[in-house]
Amino acid sequence: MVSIRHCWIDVATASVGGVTASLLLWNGLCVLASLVTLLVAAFLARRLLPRKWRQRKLGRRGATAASEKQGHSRKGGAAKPDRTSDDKSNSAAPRRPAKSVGDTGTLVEEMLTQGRYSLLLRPQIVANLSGDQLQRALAALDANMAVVPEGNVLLQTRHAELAPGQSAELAGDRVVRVEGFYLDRYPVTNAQYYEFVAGGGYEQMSLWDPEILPALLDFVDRTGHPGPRFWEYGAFEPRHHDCPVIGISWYEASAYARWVGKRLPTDAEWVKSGSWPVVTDDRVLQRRFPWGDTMDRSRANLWGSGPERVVSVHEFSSGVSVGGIYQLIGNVWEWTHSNFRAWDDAGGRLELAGPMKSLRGGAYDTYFDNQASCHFQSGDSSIARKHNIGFRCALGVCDLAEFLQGGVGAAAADTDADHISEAAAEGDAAQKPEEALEDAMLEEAAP
Amino acid sequence: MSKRSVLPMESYRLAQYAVQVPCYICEGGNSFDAELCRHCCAPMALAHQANAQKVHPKMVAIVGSSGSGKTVYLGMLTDMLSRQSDRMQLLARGAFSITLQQTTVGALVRSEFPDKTPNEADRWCWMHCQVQSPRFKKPIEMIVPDVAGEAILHEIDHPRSYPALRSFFSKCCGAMVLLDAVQLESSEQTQDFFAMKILSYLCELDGDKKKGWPARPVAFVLTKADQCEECFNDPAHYAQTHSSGLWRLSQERLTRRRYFASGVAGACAYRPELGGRVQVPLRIEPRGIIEPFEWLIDQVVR
Repeated sequence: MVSIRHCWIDVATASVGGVTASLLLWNGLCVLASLVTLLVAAFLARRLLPRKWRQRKLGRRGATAASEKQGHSRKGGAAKPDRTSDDKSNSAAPRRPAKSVGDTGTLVEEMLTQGRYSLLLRPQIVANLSGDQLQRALAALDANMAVVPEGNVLLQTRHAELAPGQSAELAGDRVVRVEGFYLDRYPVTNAQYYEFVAGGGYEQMSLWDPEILPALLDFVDRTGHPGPRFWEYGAFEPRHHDCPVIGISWYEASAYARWVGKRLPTDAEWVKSGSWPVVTDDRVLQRRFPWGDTMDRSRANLWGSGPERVVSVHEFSSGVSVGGIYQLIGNVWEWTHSNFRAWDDAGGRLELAGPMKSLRGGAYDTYFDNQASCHFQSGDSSIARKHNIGFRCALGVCDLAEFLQGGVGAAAADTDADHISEAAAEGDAAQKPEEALEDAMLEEAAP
Repeated sequence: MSKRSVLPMESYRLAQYAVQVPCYICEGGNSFDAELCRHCCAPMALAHQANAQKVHPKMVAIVGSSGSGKTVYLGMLTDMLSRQSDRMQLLARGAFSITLQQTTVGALVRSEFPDKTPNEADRWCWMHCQVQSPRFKKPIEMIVPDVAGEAILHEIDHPRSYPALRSFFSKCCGAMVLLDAVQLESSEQTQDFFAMKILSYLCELDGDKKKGWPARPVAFVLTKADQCEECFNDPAHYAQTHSSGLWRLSQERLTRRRYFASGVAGACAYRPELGGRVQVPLRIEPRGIIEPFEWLIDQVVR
């Protein structure tokens, strides 16, 4: 604009003062050059702007605005995004951490922001962390995950839960030994899952089970973008920020867990974390609900006790388990790693339409009390993307660095982090820190 | 064979026997102490309650082919509405009205579906209830029976074989037609044909354009929609795609119609039994149960 105004002033001057036509031509060329520069700059900015930044911007703006700008029609069903053209630079698999980072610090920062702290505490990686970074990773672990000690847990069959009062032998119950592990205090939220989607999780083939790769393109949201079923344009509604992510299959849950360096809990682990068994006289005594043996609907988001929809993971905090795990009962069913155990139903073997994975905990629309207990097992197809199924992740204590296994959790955080970092670094001094970190992450990501 | 009995010769009893009590459904005469109507097998308690309260309960039909989920739907609906108090409330009138709710919920809590409704009219469950809602000025008295799908089909094919059904359908002020969405999806046309038959039957029964079935509200409910999730997104589109015959007929014949989707079980498995296999719900999470009833009641009250 300045150039244009300048030009017009020159024109006026020329006409009045009788300046030569060559000066006018020179001014015109200046204007043209500045316009071309602006256009080139805009084009380059559009091309070079990171995809993540653009997606975040889209998420903030909301799906409606994005749909208007992109000219998509919701009712008409938007076409699937062309992953080969616009996103070509981002679809390279596996997607390694940003190459431009160059130093461990930024990479660690990014991983901490993404909630991938458990990866940093792996034996292969922990040596590369500074004392401050290790402290922060440990603090994140303690804030987000609860320790469940090793021990025995009684796994009841569906039949035992549906017909209480039977002897354990008749009901087909079995005692399972569980090693110590960490379990997420809250179900995985939309905001957490967004980091996975925005980080190209759906394009990193190494995160996914090989058998599901052909179906991966079907794991899209309402507008055809990769992501949970009920999202739009690869983003969730801002008001659902802290709600558990829903509309994801068992495979998507598993892929996310791998991406953050965790895994899905097994059935026995899930039951142990909720029922908190105590073994006395060789008998396993465990509670039916995380808060005790009696159903109290005010402690869980179930049918009739909540707003009949998914709520924030921070609500119904009175239903917390002994170990400090929230919403094990209600709000959303949770995928576990185990198969649905239809074969040991004491009432007879069940025939399934297809392979099913185990679900635990009940959801906001679970109707009966006995189906919202720690012992009740349901199941669904591993590719089902339902409105009331979410998940939380687990992490074996044995998967952490060796020096963290002795003083589990908070105890480990209290130790001298600098000393630990130095001691760990001595053993792996030959490899460059950032290289070791990247290699270890890729190893962890492999299914 | 008649059974002899000794009756006290009291004048008031004789007087009571002398007066015939009309059945509320078929209007046939019965003795005052009859449990079921001797003409149509409907419970005489319906007539006694109507007489005592001096209110004429409205009647709503829930129809569908055998196995379409009428018993589960009605049992679940009554249980949900009797436990819920904010949207709409349902209060049973008479002990017999709770039987259906009891048997259905008792089965579902054990993760089983209730037994098939018998074809014999004297074994059907009738429900007389009072519906309350903040939207209505006065509570609504309502009668809803759970009838066997095969009996409905038999009555359609051979009219007057079930007198209770014919009388009941002619007096109904609205209906819910249940269609098994899973069968529709698998291109089985049984559901389509049944719904078309019942629609034609009702319009033949009372085809008056102002007061007959063409003007009465009909809710089409796609049941078992939890097993074909896209049904929930747009039930009308789903019906148009998978049940085109019924869709056209309903567009042509009915002025007040709406399509709904509902489901009770989150997922199902099968238990092998002698002579086949039985479907077993893996969890109970009702969806879309109240909405069709709410719409129907709104239409009836209007």
